[in-house]
Amino acid sequence: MFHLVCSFCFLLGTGNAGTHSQDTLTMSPDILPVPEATADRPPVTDNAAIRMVSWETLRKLLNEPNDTTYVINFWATFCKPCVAELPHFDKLQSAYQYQKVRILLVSMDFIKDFENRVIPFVRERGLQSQVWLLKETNAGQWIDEIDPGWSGALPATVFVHPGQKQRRFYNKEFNMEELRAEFELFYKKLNTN
Amino acid sequence: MNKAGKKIIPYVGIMVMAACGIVATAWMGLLLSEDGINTGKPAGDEAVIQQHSGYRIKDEVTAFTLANVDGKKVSLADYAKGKGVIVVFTCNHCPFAKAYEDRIIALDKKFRPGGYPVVAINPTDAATYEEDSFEKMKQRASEKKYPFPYLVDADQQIAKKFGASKTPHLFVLQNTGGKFTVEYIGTVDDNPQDPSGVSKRYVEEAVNHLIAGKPVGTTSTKAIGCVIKWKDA
Repeated sequence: MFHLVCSFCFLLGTGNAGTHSQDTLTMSPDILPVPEATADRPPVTDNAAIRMVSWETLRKLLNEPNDTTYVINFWATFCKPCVAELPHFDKLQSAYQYQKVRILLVSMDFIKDFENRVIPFVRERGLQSQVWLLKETNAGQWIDEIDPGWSGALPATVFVHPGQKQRRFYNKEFNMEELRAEFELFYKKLNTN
Repeated sequence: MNKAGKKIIPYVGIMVMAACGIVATAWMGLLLSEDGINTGKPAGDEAVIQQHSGYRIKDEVTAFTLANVDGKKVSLADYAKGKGVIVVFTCNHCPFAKAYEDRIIALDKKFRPGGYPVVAINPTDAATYEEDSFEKMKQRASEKKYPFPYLVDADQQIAKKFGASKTPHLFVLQNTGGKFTVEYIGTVDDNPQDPSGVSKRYVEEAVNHLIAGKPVGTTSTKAIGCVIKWKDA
């Protein structure tokens, strides 16, 4: 009986952590760094949440000390398991809206498809998270820097706290419960919590 | 209950809660380390890689037989008289596979005469991507006049054995007296999006080295591809 009650307490504890801790809202509304203003700016977009960026911009985000926890998901419009899990990331963002947690969806669609495919897709689905499309053609140069175990198969997700040099990588499709549970485990281990 | 007993109970509670936590964590660990799933951690980072380990460079490939789009069966043993085979895990739906289609046809045209023909294998679950049904595979092969077999890996066992995780995913095999060994694993070249922007042709380089009797320089490369969604996952 004791065991059961305690298991219940444990589950309750993990289920509510994160959503209840009231961090003060001190962060800027757009916590992701603004990418290079010239070469990497897409020619036409009135939606600041979708950008074309270089690998260097993503590398900086992953490595420059910062007090934000990032959930970075690698996806593509043509990848069904990726598309299926996209709404989970928006839900995770809502659950952590009072914490310094930011979701970034990095599209692996082709550069030529940015205007006619990626932007309309993001708008039609009403995605809330920031979307970056990597303006790179040779993924072999940066895949290992995300994680040496990543083959390049989509989808992939990495939790990163650059300030504490903490990272956890997943080369799998998440359901909502898994994503929430895995992120909670990661987030709770950080020193700020 | 005496005073001492009351004092002890909260501590027992905390300890049991901690134990539950450890059990839960261990249980999750077990779930993630099921047979066939590599949970190897790279140094400094933690990672969950849902991938079948498969062949490594210099591993011997076990025989396989799969159905071709022409209705006939194709076996690895059919190539025992050649120098080797370029095995390509590919499919109809994936834009990366489509982008490489012409380049894979060109590889076959270039290396079939020299003893390294292409064998294409589609491990995609047609239940997930209707475009990858056997009928659609036949259509694609005839439309594009594939000069190589386009085999269906319906139960995905061959892709798992190779350790293919995505499409396209290439394996260059060298034949030594009927024994096939893996000499290269990875992508075709360094620019899927633009054939005119390619600077390194990895497969061509690997096969040229093998034909010349030299060791392959770059034995493995990485690229973005469409995940092979396992039916049993």
